Amino acid sequence: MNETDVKELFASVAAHPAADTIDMDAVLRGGRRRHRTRVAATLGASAAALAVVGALLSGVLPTSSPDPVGPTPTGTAWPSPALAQARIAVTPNQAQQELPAARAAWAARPAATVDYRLTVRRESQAAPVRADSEVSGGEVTDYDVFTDPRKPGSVPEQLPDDAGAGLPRTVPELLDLVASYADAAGLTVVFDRFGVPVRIDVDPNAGAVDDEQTLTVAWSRPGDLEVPSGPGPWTLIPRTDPFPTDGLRDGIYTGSRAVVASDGRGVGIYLTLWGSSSCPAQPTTLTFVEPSEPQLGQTEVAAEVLVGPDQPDTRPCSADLSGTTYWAPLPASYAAKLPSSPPALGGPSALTHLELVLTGGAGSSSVTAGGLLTSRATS
Amino acid sequence: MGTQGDTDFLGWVSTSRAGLRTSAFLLCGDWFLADDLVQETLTRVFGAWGRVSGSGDPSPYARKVLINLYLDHRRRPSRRETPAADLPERTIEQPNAVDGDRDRLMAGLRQVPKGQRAVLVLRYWDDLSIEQTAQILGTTASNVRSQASRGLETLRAVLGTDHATTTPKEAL
Repeated sequence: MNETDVKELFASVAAHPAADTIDMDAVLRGGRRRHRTRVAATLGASAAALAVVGALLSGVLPTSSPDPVGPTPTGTAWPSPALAQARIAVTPNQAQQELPAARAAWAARPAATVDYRLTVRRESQAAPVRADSEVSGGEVTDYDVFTDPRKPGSVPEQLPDDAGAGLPRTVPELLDLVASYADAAGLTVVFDRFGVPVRIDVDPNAGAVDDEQTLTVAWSRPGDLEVPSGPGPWTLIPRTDPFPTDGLRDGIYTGSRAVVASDGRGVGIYLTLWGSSSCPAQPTTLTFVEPSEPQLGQTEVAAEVLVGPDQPDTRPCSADLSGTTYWAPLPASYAAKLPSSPPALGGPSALTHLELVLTGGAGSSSVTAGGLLTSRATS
Repeated sequence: MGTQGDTDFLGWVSTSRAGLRTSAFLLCGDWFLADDLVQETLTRVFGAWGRVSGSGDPSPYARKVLINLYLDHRRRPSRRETPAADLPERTIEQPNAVDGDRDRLMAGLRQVPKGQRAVLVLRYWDDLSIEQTAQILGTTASNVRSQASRGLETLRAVLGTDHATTTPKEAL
């Protein structure tokens, strides 16, 4: 098959076009609306940038993340010194001003992190990719590129190395990339306390269409990526294992998400905590407290979860805002009360509400996050 | 955008519309979806008409928007499809040899991964160079070569050997 064959093939399949259904009135209306929106967006860019600064400095997470466990929820991050010490630049100029300090912080990093592993995820109009590299003595000793599927349980497929073209392989290359965006139309960079740009949102050219991209970065010492399960009933769910993420639509907590589900693991609670992927917070206990009086015929149960610190003083923690998911079994007495999907609200025998209260946090800080969950059994 | 801008835009649409529709159809394999993609493309081009027309030929911009919409669409649920409780009644069309051939070719084309298909359409239907294709797709020339080569291999595999007259490298 050569070029002519392909042309003939294309001509053949497109030989009899269907009637044209394009609505030009809609095109003109929509185009004018987009034009007005673009003008308004330009005028509002400064205000938006300030809002980003305010939101990030107050601990509010970005609204989206390419993390495979799902989008980062809007709300306060699980308290973590790794995140609290992040520095944020929201313009190309600010990013350039931050670079010397970032390079200095990286150069002065602890000796234990001279060699490191780096994961860079790219989210753009093209299919998302993830590049993993290992750096030893400043040289890249291992490099792999994968697809970056969003659905939990999806196994990334390895791609040729050139699929990661343009993705930095080392932290200095990341910093050089930030430097190369000096003339970008828009740039927001989050530097962690070691000077690593752990999130880069860039719009390189205001005149180009859909060239915006987001890089999120996780890094750690070699061997630190495996997170041990803590004490108590909670089991770490590997990122490549399937698990439900949407059994509870109203179950978004600040910095966490809980899903009650019945699946191959049994009936249990999936709890995702967003924060540092290399030093994730870990739930350690799970205690159920049943109210003395049922509410409106529904069973409402409070589950108290103690969350351990993310060990910021002993490990280099990435401020990459990634989710880590744990599972704990639901006691049989409650599991038996789970309604079939969808839940029958008000059913006298159904466990229709489960309130999860998380207590703990990094260092000396403490937070209680709660909310009302509607339990749902999924197959 | 003033009246002159509208007139210029509509003039450009009259010459580009059919080509964009065909390219969209070759990408997605469905005329209705192709019209959706082209309508959204035209909307975006018109929204940026002042800037786009000022830079010369708007067609490369439109092509890039179309490709991005196509690639993006493939990752999103259909906007046109709506769930229905009952299946609609359909007439059974009598197959004929021409339609059968076309269906076989279309089915083969559908088996080419979307990235490779985008390269094939840009290279062999829109007659763009490797460099122009790379620029629209935001990738490297070597990646375009490789995707085109793989796309041809896939086509050859799914359509049988009757088209296998040259190697992919020769075709580039």
